[in-house]
Amino acid sequence: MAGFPRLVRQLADFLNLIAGWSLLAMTALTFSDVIMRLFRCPILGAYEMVEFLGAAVAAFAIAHTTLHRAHVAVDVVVLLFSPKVQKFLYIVTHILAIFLFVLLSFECIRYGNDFRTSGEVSMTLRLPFYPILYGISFATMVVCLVLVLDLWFVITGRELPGFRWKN
Amino acid sequence: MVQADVVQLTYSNFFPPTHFNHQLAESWGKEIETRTKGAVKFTYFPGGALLKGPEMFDGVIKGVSDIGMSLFAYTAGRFPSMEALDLPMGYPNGNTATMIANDFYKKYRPKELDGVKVLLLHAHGPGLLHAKKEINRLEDLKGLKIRCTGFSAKAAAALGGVPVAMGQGGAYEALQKGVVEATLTPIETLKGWKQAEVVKYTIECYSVGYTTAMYVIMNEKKWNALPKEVQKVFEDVSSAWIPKHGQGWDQADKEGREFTLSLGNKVIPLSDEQSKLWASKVAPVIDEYVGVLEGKGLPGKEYVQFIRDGIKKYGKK
Amino acid sequence: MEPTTIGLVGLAVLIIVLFSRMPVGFVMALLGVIGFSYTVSWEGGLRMLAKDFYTVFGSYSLTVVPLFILMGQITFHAGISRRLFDTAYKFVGHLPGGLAMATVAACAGFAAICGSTNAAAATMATVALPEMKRYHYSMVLGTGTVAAGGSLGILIPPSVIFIVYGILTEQSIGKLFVAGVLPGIILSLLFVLAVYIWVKVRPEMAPKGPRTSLGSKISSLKGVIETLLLFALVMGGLFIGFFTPTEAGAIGAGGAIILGFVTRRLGWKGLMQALKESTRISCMVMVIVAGATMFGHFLAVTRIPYELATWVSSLPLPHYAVMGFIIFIYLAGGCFIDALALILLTIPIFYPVVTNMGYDPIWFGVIVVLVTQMGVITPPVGVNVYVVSGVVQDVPLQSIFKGALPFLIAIVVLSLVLIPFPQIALFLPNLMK
Ligand code: NA
Ligand code: NA
Repeated sequence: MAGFPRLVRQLADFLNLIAGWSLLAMTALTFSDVIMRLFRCPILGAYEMVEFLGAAVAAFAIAHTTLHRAHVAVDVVVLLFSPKVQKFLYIVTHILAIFLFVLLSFECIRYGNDFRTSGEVSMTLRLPFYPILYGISFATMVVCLVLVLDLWFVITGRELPGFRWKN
Repeated sequence: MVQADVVQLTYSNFFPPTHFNHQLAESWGKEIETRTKGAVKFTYFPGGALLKGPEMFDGVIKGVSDIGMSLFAYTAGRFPSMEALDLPMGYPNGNTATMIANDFYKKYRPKELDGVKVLLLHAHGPGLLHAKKEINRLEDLKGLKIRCTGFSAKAAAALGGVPVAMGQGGAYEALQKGVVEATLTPIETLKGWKQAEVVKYTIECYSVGYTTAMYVIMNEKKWNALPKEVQKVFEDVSSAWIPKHGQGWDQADKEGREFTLSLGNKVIPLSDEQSKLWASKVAPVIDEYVGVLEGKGLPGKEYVQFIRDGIKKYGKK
Repeated sequence: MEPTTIGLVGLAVLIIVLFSRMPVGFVMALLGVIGFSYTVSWEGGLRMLAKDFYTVFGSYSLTVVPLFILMGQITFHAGISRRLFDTAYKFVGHLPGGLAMATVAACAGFAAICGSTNAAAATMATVALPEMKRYHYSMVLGTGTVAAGGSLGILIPPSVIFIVYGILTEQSIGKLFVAGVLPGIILSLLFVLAVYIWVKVRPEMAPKGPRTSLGSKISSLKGVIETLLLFALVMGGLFIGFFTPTEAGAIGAGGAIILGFVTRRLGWKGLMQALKESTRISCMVMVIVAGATMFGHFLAVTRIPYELATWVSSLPLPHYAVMGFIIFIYLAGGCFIDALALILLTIPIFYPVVTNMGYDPIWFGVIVVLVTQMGVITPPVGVNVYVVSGVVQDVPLQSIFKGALPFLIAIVVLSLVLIPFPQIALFLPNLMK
């Protein structure tokens, strides 16, 4: 078990690094496109590339955001309950969340497969869409691992339940 | 309330509810509801409320929506044969383009449309150039930043312009701010998308007029589950609605023209000599398409000839 | 079960599960996919789920969210926002709630370059909250100010909501934009007034600063130079036509990075830290938007919005009562689903009703935007409040909702004034031909 938490953390951090670089690339790409357009040679397909990179920013950051419990959750009512009830609720909702991300990961692969067989590509650069769907699928699979890890820590009492940003 | 044996169908449209194409979709549905004596009932989701344009085809296959209207060009690469219709062939009007699109489908039945029931197709009037500055000759186009779709980008570049690919949604602001200086689009959008407010001239480059073919499709399982006589009603009403869409596009183009003139904008006709010159410039775009298709083992050359014949057959301006 | 019944059950379950401390975006996505699948089919529901996440994540118009957040993070890490607020403090620190008022002004200025309410709230939260905290302002006041101030992003042009409304109703987008200007300015002033009254009643919310001499005020002005440069770059570029509002985010972020490196106030480490925090905040926002979209699609297929809208339109009531009902529905609907989804579903039904009663379509567009602004700061689903909560993390949600309340009252006041005095919205657009 000692290796598993480390592996999951490194994976989540690594994906978040990709997300960060994608965001920087998005900025640079749009910035250069605007400048180049002033000289009448805009980067054709910048629009599509920005969409691709935008998908990478959001998708590859979910695991990290989940690992650091940075999602927004309503805790007003739950905090009124005893720690035991809180823990129970946390376990139940985590199982539901894992269910959600398993569905999402599974369907993104199937969606990607459909994109691949239909040969659908972006309008200008004619880049295929399926790698993004596979990417989202992989990213959400890592989210499942993160959720399992968090759940395990809460069950074994090494972490308290809760949703607040922790470093 | 609702009878148990009534078939409830959802109809998604990327057109907004005020657009005539959505109003035709609703009257199409009403006609079917009447003729089947209420055996079918439609719920509409216009304006991309359920499925957006690029999501439509896959969404109907997967049953997210039972029926959907969208354009082939939103999903590039998925419809290599139908893309022939979108080439800058020099369509004179929307009715011609609509008739050709339906004939084309009936004749070739491309495999790419397997998996859905095609109810009807339609296509807009010629995509023309609308600019903030006056354009009379090909030279005037040099270096002009032209908003276009990914597919018409090639034609824009072939004419010497600088293609800036973006959707219709961003066009207004881009033209207003001068981010682009012209747009390639049917004259109808000058009214429908209010772009007449931000351009000054329309250039009647009919010789390179392209179109965008659109589909109304239905989920195959839902279609197969319909009783034979109901299917017949769908087929009959759909055929009757094809010319309505075609003429609707022409009417919309007429209104777009009146709207832009009412704002004091000008329409510039292109001389015969210039028309020929422009057509010769985009010819390589058509040749390239034929080459790619022949490489895939599809009769690209025949497709293009079929469309040319269709323009002769239907196209008296 | 009738689809509308399924929808009502879905709404009830949503309220319960929201309070279970499951992340808000997860709750809406999960209930959305289950509800959609139950109403339509599992095949359709699953595909809708994948489509909504993929389309929201890869949406060109939503790329302003991460880009503006990055801009906010860079100004924070390069100390640009800190120097800006130091200057502001010298000027307005002695006024009751001076910094909160300055934040409202900054929100209004930012709204002129950003057309999305979530992006505006996230950016302003990043920029302004650490500074207000530094000067010991109450975080209830601070978070409420940025959550509500961010909503100005859709009233002051450019505005995503005006664009969607214009396309749905075939109204001039240019006129709608212009119609938002005067109400936008008035609402900003009302927000300032709300801060003033609040701090007058509860002075401990915003400790007063010392009065400063004119000399130290003037010498502090150099602190705003960088901000002015950045603002001039983005505003100027927008007006001259170098780029579109969607591209403004990238220009702002890129400009801030260059500025930070040139002045040597931003290093490699600061940039990496800014990127890391930007992806976290953006991801948090995008997951909520994707979840809200999925839940909105579920409600759409249950036909609840249609049934409700059709029912109201058929009520045999005087015009103002029908109008009141419509506003109420947007307000109630805005409590549960994403504003954009609500507008897409209901405008097609309400719009003809409203115009048939003789109301001005441009004016109605402004009303729709105002009610949308209310929706993003009212519980239980108040997207701007969620966004701000995700940025600061150590302020409980209910405090932010509470903090936004005075501003909510200000929006309601403006809406009530606009009903008898539509000229406030229509004066400027009527000057156009
Ligand atoms: Na704005
Ligand atoms: Na709300």
